[in-house]
Amino acid sequence: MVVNESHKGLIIFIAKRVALLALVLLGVSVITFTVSRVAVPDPTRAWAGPRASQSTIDALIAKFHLHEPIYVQFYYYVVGILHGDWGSDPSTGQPVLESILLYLPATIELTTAALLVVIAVGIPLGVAAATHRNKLQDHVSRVTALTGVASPPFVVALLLQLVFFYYLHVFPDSGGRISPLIQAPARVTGFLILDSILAGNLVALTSALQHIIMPAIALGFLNLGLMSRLVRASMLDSLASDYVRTAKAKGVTKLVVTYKHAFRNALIQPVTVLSVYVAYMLGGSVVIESIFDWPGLGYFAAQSIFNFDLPAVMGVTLIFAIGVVVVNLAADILYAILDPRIRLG
Amino acid sequence: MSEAILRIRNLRLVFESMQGRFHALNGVNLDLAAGEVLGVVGESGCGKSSLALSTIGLLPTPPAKLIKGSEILFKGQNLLALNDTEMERLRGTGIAMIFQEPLTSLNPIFTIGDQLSEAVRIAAIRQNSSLGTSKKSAKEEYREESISWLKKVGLPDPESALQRYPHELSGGMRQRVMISMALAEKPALMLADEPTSFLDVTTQAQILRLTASLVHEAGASVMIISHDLAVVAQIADRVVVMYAGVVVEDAPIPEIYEKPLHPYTQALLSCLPKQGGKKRLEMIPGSPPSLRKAPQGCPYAPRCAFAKDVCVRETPEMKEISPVHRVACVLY
Amino acid sequence: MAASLDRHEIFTTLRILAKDPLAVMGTLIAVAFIGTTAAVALFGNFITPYDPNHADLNLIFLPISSKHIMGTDFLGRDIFSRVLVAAPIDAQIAFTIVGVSAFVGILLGSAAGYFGGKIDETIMRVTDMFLAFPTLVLAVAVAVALGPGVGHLIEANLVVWWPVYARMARAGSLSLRETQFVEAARAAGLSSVAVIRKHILPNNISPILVYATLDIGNAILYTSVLSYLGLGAQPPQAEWGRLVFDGQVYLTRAWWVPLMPGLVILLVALGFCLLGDALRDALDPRYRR
Repeated sequence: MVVNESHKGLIIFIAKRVALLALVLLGVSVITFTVSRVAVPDPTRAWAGPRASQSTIDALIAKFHLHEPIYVQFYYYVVGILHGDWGSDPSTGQPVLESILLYLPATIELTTAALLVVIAVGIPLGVAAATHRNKLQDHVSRVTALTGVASPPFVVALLLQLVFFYYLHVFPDSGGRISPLIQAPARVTGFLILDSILAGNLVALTSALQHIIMPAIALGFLNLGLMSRLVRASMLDSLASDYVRTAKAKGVTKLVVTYKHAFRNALIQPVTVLSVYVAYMLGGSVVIESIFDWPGLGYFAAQSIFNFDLPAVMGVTLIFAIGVVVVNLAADILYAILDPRIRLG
Repeated sequence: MSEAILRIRNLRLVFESMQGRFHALNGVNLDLAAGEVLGVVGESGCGKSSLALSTIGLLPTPPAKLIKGSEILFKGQNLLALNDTEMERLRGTGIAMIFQEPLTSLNPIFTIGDQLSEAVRIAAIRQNSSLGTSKKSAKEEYREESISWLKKVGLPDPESALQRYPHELSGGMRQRVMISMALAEKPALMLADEPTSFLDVTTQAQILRLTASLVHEAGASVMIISHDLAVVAQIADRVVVMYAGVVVEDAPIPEIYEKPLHPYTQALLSCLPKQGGKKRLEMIPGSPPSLRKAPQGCPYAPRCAFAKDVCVRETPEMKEISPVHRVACVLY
Repeated sequence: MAASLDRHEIFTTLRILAKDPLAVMGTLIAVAFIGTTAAVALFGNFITPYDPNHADLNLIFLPISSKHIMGTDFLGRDIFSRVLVAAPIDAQIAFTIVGVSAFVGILLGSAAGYFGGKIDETIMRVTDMFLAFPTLVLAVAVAVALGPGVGHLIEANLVVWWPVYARMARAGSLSLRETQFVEAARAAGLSSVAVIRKHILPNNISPILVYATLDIGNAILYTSVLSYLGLGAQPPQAEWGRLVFDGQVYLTRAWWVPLMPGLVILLVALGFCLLGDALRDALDPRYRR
């Protein structure tokens, strides 16, 4: 295959974006630094705990270089982060990074599942709303979008639990990722679903799938409707475009016009917005994971907030920011792949 | 008279919008003979694009409404009586259309090759033919046919052009691609809506020459639409002048230059810069009528230097001045 | 170009809004919310059907009825009264957050767009840094760092709210910078500040207004989530999000205890969303003819 200008453009585009990533992450760390050391009235107390002894505090002052100018502190802060020192829980002494890595896979799993919900329901709903304008499908899409945006995440989660767990007994017997009565498979990737598949454990897989559905729906619901509105608008633009008219003039059948010519173009913008939804979802996960007892970063964050554990909260904030930045990059790259016009700029 | 491939009778079209009714076409009658190149000339808003879109059935139908009594006969069949599927089947291989702006008219996310082979494939499937006698796969055959078409329209380096995206080509090249896509389906009738408006004058001439020769080779009939008589004159055999949704004059090209009969045609010709002439460019005073009101009387009357009382009251009928020259004006 | 803010335009907007049932509903909800807040702020507990703090263990977990339209909670307190009395807090917080951050954001953004160059660059880099965070998470982090309490909650939210307004103001400012009346004003010798104040801001206002309306609903959501998590308003001060948290454990036994306050949050947020949406459509120049 000929490697044409367009492909070269894509590679350069990606390279530029990755370089930008480092810069953005630096900016992110400036903010986390400011919040965790500067904004806090008494950083040593926050990081050592209220009952720490004077010697512990002195050690911390030395460690964080608190008597030195701010930019020196910042330098050591960044160095520390890169070396994996993200602080430790003031009461238990547990290193924050360790906890984060422990809880991370569950959140990635849940967020991915929620994204799948948004894509699998939101996109078809949007297409239906576009092709059946002002009819039932369109109204459903509009109402879902409005309620999704206006709902506090705990209302959605609690309602789902009430209706499905309690009244209808549809879904699983407990919170968490898997039934407590089942032996979980060996932790290979940390992704329960994958691990179950790898271990060939069908019972565990079923239980894991049953447990992920509700929290995924709760998390996805916030953005589902929005996605459908976006897809709808995009589809309507696409269907009214000149190139769709040309396709029809060529004698292309209505179905192919809608799904090959219009849909693929319409998909570009909504797909790139998914990264923004990930950001919303990470925020929502704090509440939703707690309600469903889903042991992910959101759950960890909620516990840490409750305990006013600043190092842990900062750690979660940092990892979420890194996540958002990476996902944004992925979305940009996806955009360049889907739309050849972007690559050459 | 040779077999008429397209006969339009009493075509009336309105657009319904929130601002009211818009009378786009008010009783258009025209014939197009097989193998003929017909030019349709008129100012913006005279209805010429709507004429083409009605023929190929691509009017946006909620706002657009064809009035009963309109007839568009293609090879004897009334297109307005066909349902969606039947009309769809005619498009591409029966009636093809190329548009004004090739950048937006080509799908930005598919390669030229993809879009061209799509046209080739549709033609092949409809004609139920295989393109070659060798044992190559259909895809290979489509690709080869695409390359040969790109060569025919004069695209340099067709093989690599196949991999390119529309935004990577120049305006002239894109329009050539559009032409190749239309002709690849071997249509009997090709509609060209202002195909050269977005091109510079030199490229315009090239494209028109190319279109003329390819169309002649294929034996297709062409309706070429333009606001510019000079453009149309380069390739048309005959021209039809439109004003405010009706045809006002219908004559072969040489005759329309030597003996323009309708006052509007005369005014149009006097607007053309004459070669080597020092004459100032004249404009036709006034502006086209608002199409909000139902038409009454001759639409050109308000601007006509020769207007009489009867012009405002009665709509002039098309009269045959000679076997090839017709005009709708009370003066004759 | 978006509509500017003069009397004729305002009346046209109101007329368009009056025709849309969803807009009317949204407006009613928003007005009801503000009205209730004002009433409670002025009259306190006198205006509620029952004393929101009166606990009566004989009346616990009473379901929804005509006597207790939202039922009673785990201490026998009337939930509707508690919901009413908690309204002012959210109103105060939401309007403060949106108001102050809009003000700051507009200032910075207009300046960035108008002056361009280094000022623009700096301000844009800063907003980028903030926008890299999931907003809720950053607000939470700042709130934890600052400590509990309503004041800290407001401050924490201000930090994350302003960048969006800055962006919008900048965009509008950039496009308005090159227009003729700005040129004329500059030629007449008007100082930059005056130009911004007199010419750029008023013409920029409608998308920002639309967004601010939507944002009030958003702010109420954020406040309730933060309170739910234990930040912000502390007991015994009633706050809707907190009420949900307190009642959560009784979900299966008396679902109205956590869900009634929750649905109220939903309703109010929905009201502002509808209003904001309708406002956006009404101000869309394509509709105004």
